[in-house]
Amino acid sequence: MATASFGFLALAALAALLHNAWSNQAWRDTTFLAVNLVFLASFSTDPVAFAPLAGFLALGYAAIQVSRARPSGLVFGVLVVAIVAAFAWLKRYWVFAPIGFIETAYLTLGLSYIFFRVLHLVIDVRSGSIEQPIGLLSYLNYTLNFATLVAGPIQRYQDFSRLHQRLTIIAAGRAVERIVIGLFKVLVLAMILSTVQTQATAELGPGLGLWDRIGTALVSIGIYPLYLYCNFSGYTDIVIGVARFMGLELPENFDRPFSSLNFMEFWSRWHMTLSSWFKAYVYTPLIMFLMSRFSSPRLDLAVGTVTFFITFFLIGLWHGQTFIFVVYGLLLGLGVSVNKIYQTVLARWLGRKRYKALAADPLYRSFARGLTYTWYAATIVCFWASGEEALRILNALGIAGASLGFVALFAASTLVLGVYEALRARILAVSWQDAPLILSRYLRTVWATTLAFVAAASVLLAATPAPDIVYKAF
Amino acid sequence: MTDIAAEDVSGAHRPGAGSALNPPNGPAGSLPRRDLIILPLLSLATLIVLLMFSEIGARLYFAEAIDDSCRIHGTAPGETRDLPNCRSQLKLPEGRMATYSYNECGYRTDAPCGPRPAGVARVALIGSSMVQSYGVSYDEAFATQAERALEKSCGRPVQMENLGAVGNSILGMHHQIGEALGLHPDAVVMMVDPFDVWSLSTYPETASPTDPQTAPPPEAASPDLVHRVEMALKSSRAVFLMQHFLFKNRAFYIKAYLLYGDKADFLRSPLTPAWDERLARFEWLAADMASQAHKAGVPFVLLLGPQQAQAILMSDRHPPAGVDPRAFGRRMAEIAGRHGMILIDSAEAFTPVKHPEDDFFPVDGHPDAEGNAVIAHALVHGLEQGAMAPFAACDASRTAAH
Repeated sequence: MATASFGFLALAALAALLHNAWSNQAWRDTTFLAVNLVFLASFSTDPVAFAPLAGFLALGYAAIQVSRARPSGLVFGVLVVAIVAAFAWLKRYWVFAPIGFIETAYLTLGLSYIFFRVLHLVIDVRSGSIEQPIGLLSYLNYTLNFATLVAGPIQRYQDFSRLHQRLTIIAAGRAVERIVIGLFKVLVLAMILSTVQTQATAELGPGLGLWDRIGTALVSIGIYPLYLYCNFSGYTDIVIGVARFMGLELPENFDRPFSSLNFMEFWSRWHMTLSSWFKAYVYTPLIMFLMSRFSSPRLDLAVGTVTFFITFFLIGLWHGQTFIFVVYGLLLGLGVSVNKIYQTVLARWLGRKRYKALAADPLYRSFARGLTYTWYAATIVCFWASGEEALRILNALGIAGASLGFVALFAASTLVLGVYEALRARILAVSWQDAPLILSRYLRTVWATTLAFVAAASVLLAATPAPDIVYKAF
Repeated sequence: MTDIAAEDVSGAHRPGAGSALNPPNGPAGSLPRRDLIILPLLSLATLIVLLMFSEIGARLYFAEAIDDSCRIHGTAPGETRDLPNCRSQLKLPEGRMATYSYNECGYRTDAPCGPRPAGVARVALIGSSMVQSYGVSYDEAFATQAERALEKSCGRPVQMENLGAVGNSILGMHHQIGEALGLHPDAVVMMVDPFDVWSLSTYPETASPTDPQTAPPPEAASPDLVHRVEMALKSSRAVFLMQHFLFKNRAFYIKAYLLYGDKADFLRSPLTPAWDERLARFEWLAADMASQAHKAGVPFVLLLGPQQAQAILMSDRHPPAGVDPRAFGRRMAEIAGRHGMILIDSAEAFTPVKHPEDDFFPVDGHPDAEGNAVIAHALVHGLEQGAMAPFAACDASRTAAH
């Protein structure tokens, strides 16, 4: 069942109806689990296909019960390694190829996000951050929450188990608006961008002249981040809106990422819950460990850079099972490491005051924004292209073409994002009753109705369905 | 790109900032009572404006111009024909502007309808809108395409006298057989499609060619509200545009068509009693026509026109369970066999076509220029294979252009 589909919205409506019909917690938990299982069952008719997922959930639940007893570091380490290994094996990571995989087809949908939730529970239960007991019903509802199963956002258990908010007319209105925006992004914007990007990628070949190749690559590589943003943030909007009908406030996953001025900031505004998870469970423990080992202030930059590199390398690695995701991880790690070194060295060289002045300069900010976008667009080729396809693109461009393409993308993104930021600032500056006019409830009602109309029309009129959620594959 | 979603969140970041349902000046979480009325009305008004713009846009994009001033009613029930030496223009919403010029007999043909000149092969076509190639220009009409192809393969002039008229019924076709034979053709081709046969049931049992005064049942005098809404939707070009794109999706079209019930039951095997009855009635009429033709020494050809869903299903290797696009053709073959008719099933010609849905006007349902080309090919092939004197000796390889 696709998230941006009538079936999903109908299931969500049913879930909301059941949830709001009776405020009894047992009723809510039971009906919520029923809806979660119905959603899960929509992906396969073969009960055997669910067995590995059930096994993984059972392992997670057992690990949580063991963690509750505050086991020794060794036992805890074994638990964590077992969960990571089980996840990587079920996801068929290439490193496990020598020992073989399960031959029959089985469901891995949402396994990555379940993995994050399970690990979070195991770690936080042991550390005492989660004190309340976690019952089986609550555990299943948290890990299999139909709104977040496919591709997050990764919600903390503490937030999930918080008393559900009452559904008010304002909350319902906001939820509907959010769902409409999400549907528009997924069904209209993402579909258009995907069509253009796919066409440009197919056209990219040695038969074209150098400038045509660069132009086509510019479209193919430059548009993908925008497409992914519309696809993924649209999905997130839908599920956040849907969850609100059940009183659940899901965390945000995006905060205008293309306005980021550097690569580290970008990752704090893009797939935010993933970055937060890695920050909490990889970056922070790792930097604390390294700083305890290398306590000299002279080594701070090196320790910080290495920690960033390892964290982002793992983020890259998480995205896929094949070797190209090692390259993706290396490029992400390289991006944040260079970013960290550049910031530190430049601040030392210029001094804090001049560095701040430079960072506030509009032209510098525009270039920084453009460079951040360009680097992300270049690294993410590993994400959407297979190894062969990435090589085909590189061969079609050649070294000179790739370099010129990078510069052209940098110039184009600097210009486009600069214009966008300026326009946005102007629009928000138009105010009414001390608030931006664009955010008036009246204008937003008109806007949301228009988006809903266009999204509905595009579903009816489009010859092909919109692409499915990209992160569903993770 | 505006991250509108983030703006929603930003309401929390900027105290006092408004949101769709959180008034800028009101306390957070409250909504002025008037807004409970205003906001839904605003949404409704927006929707109405959008629908109006859609209708205007659709009328511009799918312009329609129908001039049926040449069409007249004949004497038989449901018989239509066109005025001699008349000229009209037609533009279907999904097609291009097509000119209709009728010769001195009222046929959509360039050729004269007088005595057949020596050395000229002549075919008389009778039927309804499909024979007239509704919505398609004269050059693209299957009769014209077939005429050119036959002239090429036979090496002699060929005249296609097209008696077909939009809205003509099978009773009307039966009435026209004498006129067709009066042209002294080498063959009479009667083209019928499943819809023509289905339409027979709109005439009462008593209606027959010898009972010209019998008219189809009148429509309800005062339509109710549901009917009025239905009519309004049918006349909406925005709805038409939506249907156009939906019907281009073959899977959706087939699913939707099969919901038609009785009208779509010719696609199911065995045929229903209602279809058995229609076919029995058709057989009686067609047999009489064939008999008259044979008496005049003229071969009688039954050309089956393709129905859009049928053509799509023909090219589908795995049609839905219980669906048989060849059921209608088989029954027609039995009828043709019983009465010495030559059968040409042009629906079968769509079997190798990869995307038959592209060969029809999606909503209107008539074959477009490409669809007419497929029918022309089937007709030429059928005539050449049909052991009919003027065409049997034609060299089919010369029609390679098709």
